[in-house]
Amino acid sequence: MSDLKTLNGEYENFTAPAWRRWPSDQARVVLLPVVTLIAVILVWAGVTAALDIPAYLVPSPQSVVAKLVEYWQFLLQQLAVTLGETFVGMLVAIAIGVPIAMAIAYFKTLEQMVYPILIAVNSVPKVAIAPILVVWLGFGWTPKIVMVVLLCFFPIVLSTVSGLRSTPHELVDLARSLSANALQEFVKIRLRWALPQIFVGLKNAITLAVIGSVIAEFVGATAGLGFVIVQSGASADTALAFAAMTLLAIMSIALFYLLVALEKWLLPWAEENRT
Amino acid sequence: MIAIEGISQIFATKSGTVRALQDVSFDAEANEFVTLVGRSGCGKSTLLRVISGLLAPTAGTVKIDGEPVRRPRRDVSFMFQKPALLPWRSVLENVMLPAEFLKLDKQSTRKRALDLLDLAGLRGFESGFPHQLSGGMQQRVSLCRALVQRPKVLLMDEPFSALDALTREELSNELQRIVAEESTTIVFVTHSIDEAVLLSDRVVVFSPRPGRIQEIVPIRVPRPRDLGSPEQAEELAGSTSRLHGLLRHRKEAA
Repeated sequence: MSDLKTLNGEYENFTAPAWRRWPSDQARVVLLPVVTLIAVILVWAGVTAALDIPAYLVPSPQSVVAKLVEYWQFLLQQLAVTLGETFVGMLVAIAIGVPIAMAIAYFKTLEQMVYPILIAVNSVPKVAIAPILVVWLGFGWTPKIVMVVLLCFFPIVLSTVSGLRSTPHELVDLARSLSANALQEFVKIRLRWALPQIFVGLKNAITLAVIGSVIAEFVGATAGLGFVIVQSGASADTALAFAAMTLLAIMSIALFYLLVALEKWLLPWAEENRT
Repeated sequence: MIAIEGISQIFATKSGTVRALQDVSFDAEANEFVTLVGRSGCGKSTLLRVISGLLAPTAGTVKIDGEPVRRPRRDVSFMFQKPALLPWRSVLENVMLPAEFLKLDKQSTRKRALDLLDLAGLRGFESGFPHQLSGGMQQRVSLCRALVQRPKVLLMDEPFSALDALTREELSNELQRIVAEESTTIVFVTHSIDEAVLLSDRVVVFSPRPGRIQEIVPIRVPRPRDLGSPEQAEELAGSTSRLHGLLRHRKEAA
């Protein structure tokens, strides 16, 4: 029990009442958003029923669930397509982005040559390129991957560069005073130090990756959840579009938390160290 | 052991050149504890970097065992103002880091690291991580790491200056105890006159801008020294007031 003096100068008993202590803080983190979500769905169900909104405008949650159940096999296949595009695109973006970031972080001239252009290109709305990608690359996998890479590339490069640059100079001095060569210094010190920052970029990139594959599917595809949304929009099957959107949201969130879990597992020190 | 001969250091900055050190020469004997004191900006840390080989001097040479220093040497270790621990490594792995860069035998380094951690009062913390330790404990780990390769020369750049006063005093006492068991020549940079008097065989007093040696003061108080002991009080106070005088004098002249 601890007494803290409040701003008014009065003493207040700072032990929380029982109803505030339950559930535990960890459980709250999960439970409270779920409560909000359920509330939103209930309001949604209530409004669609009460106002008798036509299903092609706003379908009720029940009808969305019904679609999910009815078409679960088809929808899962489409989800697999979108997930594949997202995943491969992300890997390609990492494979291209991280080495480029290393080069930028190490060579001043290269940085001056490339960095301003990268930032300028990053501000171009990538959605605008999607139709042209179809013209250039057709309807297959390639334009989807390219789109995902275009969206993911920049946050990965930017965060990796800033991570590699943030190495404290005393750690660099330490490595040098121990006669470390450039490769050892990079692998054992700089890259390790940059990893939490790189993960920040990856977490930004993964949500953009999902957006990228959906955009690419919008403009020219024969499969994927983006394709399902376009198709069901055309046939006024809004409930099916909502079902696809729900799956996209779940996929996006799952991918994000997968990265969070990976980070916690790989870099258990990073959380405590970041103050 | 260490021969510093006519070191000058000039840095180029945007607003022109800065003379950090001018014609600095002195020697340190084997196992001697030499402290560099002076005001901020008098080039003491710069000199330490020159001795370590991290920085090439504009003029002059540093010789260790008669050999000119051109790059960091295996038998010279550096302890920084910050602990400079790798946050992803456990305490023991941090202390063993030099073994990887210097390609030392893992098995014997491990034993040595554990002995040092024991000596520094860190037994039981080997598998802890830096963020779990207090600032003072982190700096002890840093000291163990600096000693793990049994360096001939240990260079310490204001190692306790980021700590609170009590921890600082405690650590300088510990340092005195630890180095008594090691045979290492130490060059120590500090702002603290108390630290200098407690630890040093000789104190090199620097005058600022450009950094020059103003005077070298031997401290002839027998070890172990204790700033709180009544028997040593008079001798220690003598050295302390001498150093205070030297450092104050410069301020008035400037």
